[in-house]
Amino acid sequence: MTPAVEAHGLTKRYGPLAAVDDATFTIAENTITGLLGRNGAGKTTLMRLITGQEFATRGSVRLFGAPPVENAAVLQHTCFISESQRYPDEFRIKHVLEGAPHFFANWNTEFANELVEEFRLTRKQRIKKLSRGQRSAIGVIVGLASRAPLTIFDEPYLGLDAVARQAFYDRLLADYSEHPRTVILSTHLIDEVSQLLEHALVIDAGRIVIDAPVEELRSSAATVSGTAEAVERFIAGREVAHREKLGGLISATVAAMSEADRADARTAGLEVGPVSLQQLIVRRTGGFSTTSTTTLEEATA
Amino acid sequence: MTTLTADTVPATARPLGRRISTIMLLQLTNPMTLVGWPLMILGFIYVLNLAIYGLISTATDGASAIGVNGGVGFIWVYTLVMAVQSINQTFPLALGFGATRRDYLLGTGVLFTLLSVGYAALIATLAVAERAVDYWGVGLRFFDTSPDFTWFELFLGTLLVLLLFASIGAATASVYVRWKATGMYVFWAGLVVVLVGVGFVLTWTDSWGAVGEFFATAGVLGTLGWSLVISALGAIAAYLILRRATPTNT
Repeated sequence: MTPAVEAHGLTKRYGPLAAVDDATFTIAENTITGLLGRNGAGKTTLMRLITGQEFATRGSVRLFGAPPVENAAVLQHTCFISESQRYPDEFRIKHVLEGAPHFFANWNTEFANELVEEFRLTRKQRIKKLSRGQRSAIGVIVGLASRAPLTIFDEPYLGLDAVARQAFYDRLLADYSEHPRTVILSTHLIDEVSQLLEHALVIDAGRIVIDAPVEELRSSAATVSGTAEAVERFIAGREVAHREKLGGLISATVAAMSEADRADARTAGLEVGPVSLQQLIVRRTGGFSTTSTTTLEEATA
Repeated sequence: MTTLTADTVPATARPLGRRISTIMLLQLTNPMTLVGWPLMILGFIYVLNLAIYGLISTATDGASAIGVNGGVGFIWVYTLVMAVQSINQTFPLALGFGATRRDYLLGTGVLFTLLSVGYAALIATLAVAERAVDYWGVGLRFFDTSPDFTWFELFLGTLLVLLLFASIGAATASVYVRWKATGMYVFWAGLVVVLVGVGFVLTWTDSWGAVGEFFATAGVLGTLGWSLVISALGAIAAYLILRRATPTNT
């Protein structure tokens, strides 16, 4: 099957700044991919390159097998919900819901109306008068109801309360399993969405630093905790991403844990627990030294 | 990883007409913006003028005001405003919804041409109607800017004016959408320099007379016909500028 997105050496420079730097990756069709990274890491630029909104300085990107720039044949299958999408001044919610369906072949009006209710909006509300979170909700509604073969949510939850965010995740997952499509979700609320994600693409300073299935990432590292002595003995010579000391106890995040390693740890009387995706990525994009970077990359490659 | 069968994504684009109408419909979704408000404001200005002319007529014992009122010029300027706002506000949205820049521009071009045709027909018709009621007997020549023009000449003249304003608006909006405030500074500064330059050259070469003569010979419709050159340049500029623009939501 043709991947939904395929990038080779994709680079976008703004003057001396490389917003996206030599990115090579593929996004399989009908997956939910998390595009994760810090502020200014290049998430938005990358998504804009994918949808032909931005022009690449170097390298190439293919969307459903074709270059996306000005290509109606593939762009018609995309819906890009921007983090702070602006709407025409005189638009009410109903205008968005009436204007959008013409763009999307799979648009579902009933679904859109359900979502409007779920997010406690009414069609008559003027968009200018809405709160930040409510405006985000409109983007979420359009993105979900569009059922576009490639739907991109760029930080879709800004200002959304916890209940609304959960509603978004639940709806996305439910609708996705009924109507499979490719979803790219950029976010820094990593743990919140980690249950949704099948694949993680982590970008830092413009470079793709992790490109791996979430399952694999999770199993690539583990926390090992127990008495300081036992932990120290176990982690000696291993790649330790992070450690926390509490009294006589140590909890260490160890990269590259095989099944045998886990068994060893348990035999040594240590507790082996999962590492949150967020922890892993925080370490990777802020904390890891260069050597451990390589180790984790090898572990997740 | 992919276990569910994807509906195969169609590899051909929808027909161009469909894509263009999609863009037009987006901008017309709220019909108040491009049709409702301008007509209501125009109607309001008209009624206001009618009241004032009525007062003058009463106060002066029926000696009616003479000459063109000019109030219809509102719709000319407002066409520019509409082009600027519509492009600035719907371009990023349409691209987010998967439209290409080209389709967006074609759709917007067709939309504003049709709007101009509609407004021109309306104004020409109202102008003829004004004649029929003898300007309400108070001399209010609001729509009828050229009493010796036929309906068709009025229509054509208005259409050319509206196209001119729409294309200037489109070009201005494109500069803003692509280069934001910096673009505006350079654009307006550049425009002033060009205009002053032209004035300087005309004065230097002592050609103002020739310019006047040109307009006199061309006549109103002839001059407006020449405006098509500027309209075309504006539209082409808008097209070329927006083709390389990246939508932003700021």
